[in-house]
Amino acid sequence: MDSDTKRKLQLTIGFAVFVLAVAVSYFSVTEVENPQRDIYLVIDVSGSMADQSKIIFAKNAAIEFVNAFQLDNSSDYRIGLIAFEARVNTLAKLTDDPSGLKDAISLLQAGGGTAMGDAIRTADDLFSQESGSDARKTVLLLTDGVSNTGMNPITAAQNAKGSGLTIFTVAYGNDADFSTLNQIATMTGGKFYKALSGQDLVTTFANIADVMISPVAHYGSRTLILVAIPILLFIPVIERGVSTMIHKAEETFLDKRRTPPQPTCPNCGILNRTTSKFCKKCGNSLRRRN
Amino acid sequence: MTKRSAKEILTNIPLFFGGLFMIYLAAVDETLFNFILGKTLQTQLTVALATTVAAALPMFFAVGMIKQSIVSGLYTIYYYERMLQGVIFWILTIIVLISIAAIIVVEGVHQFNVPILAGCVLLTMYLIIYTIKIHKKQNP
Repeated sequence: MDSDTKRKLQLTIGFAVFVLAVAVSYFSVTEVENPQRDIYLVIDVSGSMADQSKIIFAKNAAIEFVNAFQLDNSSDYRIGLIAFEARVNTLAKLTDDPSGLKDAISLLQAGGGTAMGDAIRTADDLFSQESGSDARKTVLLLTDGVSNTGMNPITAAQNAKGSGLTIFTVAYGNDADFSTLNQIATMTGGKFYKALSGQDLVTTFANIADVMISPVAHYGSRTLILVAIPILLFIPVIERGVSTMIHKAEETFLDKRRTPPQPTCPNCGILNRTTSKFCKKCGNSLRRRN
Repeated sequence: MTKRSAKEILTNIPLFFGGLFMIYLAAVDETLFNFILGKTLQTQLTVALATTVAAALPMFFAVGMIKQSIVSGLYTIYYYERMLQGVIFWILTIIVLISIAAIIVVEGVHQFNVPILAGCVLLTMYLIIYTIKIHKKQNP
């Protein structure tokens, strides 16, 4: 085969691999089963949230979050609102009415301690009362501080995990308890986010909404494409490797065929090893005498 | 260490890290994927196409950068090898990086995409210098 034909053949094989990967990727794009998703926004309204207009940004972020879901009667989503300081207040139960929810968000006011664990437990209790068994239960927890009263948040998260809750946590500002929030999110299969400024918070909430809404899972197909590209481009290396392997296998096979037969002792008739010079039973010389 | 080998390492290290950055873009970053899906109706076909473009495009250039930096002894297919020898490969890489950076700027810069934007800008700057060097070498 001349070199030009070989190059074209390599290119054709490469494209065939790529097209195959794209085809497989097409069929591996799956729609995420989308049963009811119930979400509780659990927002910290402790005294520290009054600093630097944090509560205003939190309200904006929450409203953007609600807008992203485009709630109506036919929607697969319901959202509720819990505010917590030293006490926990349920401002809106799970609903698909965006205006009622936004009204509740506008009522948020800062002041008091931080009972993070109690807030998680309240969300857990409300889900068990309001959600069906097939609904995906999600909590979006926002806080700017450290839990300083009520139930231990890790214990509350462990209980919530047992009830099938997924908790996304958002640490607002530098004073939040990053490690606890990270632990809660990891433990319950959620994700931990940091929002250092008010604008970050709005963007973070929008990103979390995107993650929750995304109707397709495409990472499997993406991996396929990622693997196909280097295979396509490195076909000469693969070809050389394969031909070397075939060559070595052939040589090994031929070597085996070339191996001389095991010598038989002319005295006792016992079969000996190929390299033996004397019979292993009677000690007679195995060398042929001329 | 000779002057020549030191110079080669200095050229290869940024290319290698650039390659890793492009692999990151191909494997994890959603900028191109979201941009394509944002402009089209979301169906199985468009998702598959967006996935293909978002993964294949950066990966195509990542392979070239890694190849030129640490595995230059391995041969890729003839046409890709020819592309790598000239400046066209690097110009196309720069175009892809600038496009991703532009999408990020247009869609909105935030804490999650700032590192990607910074990476795109730095790699673009390096590749512009690298391309000019190659062009000068080929056309003295």
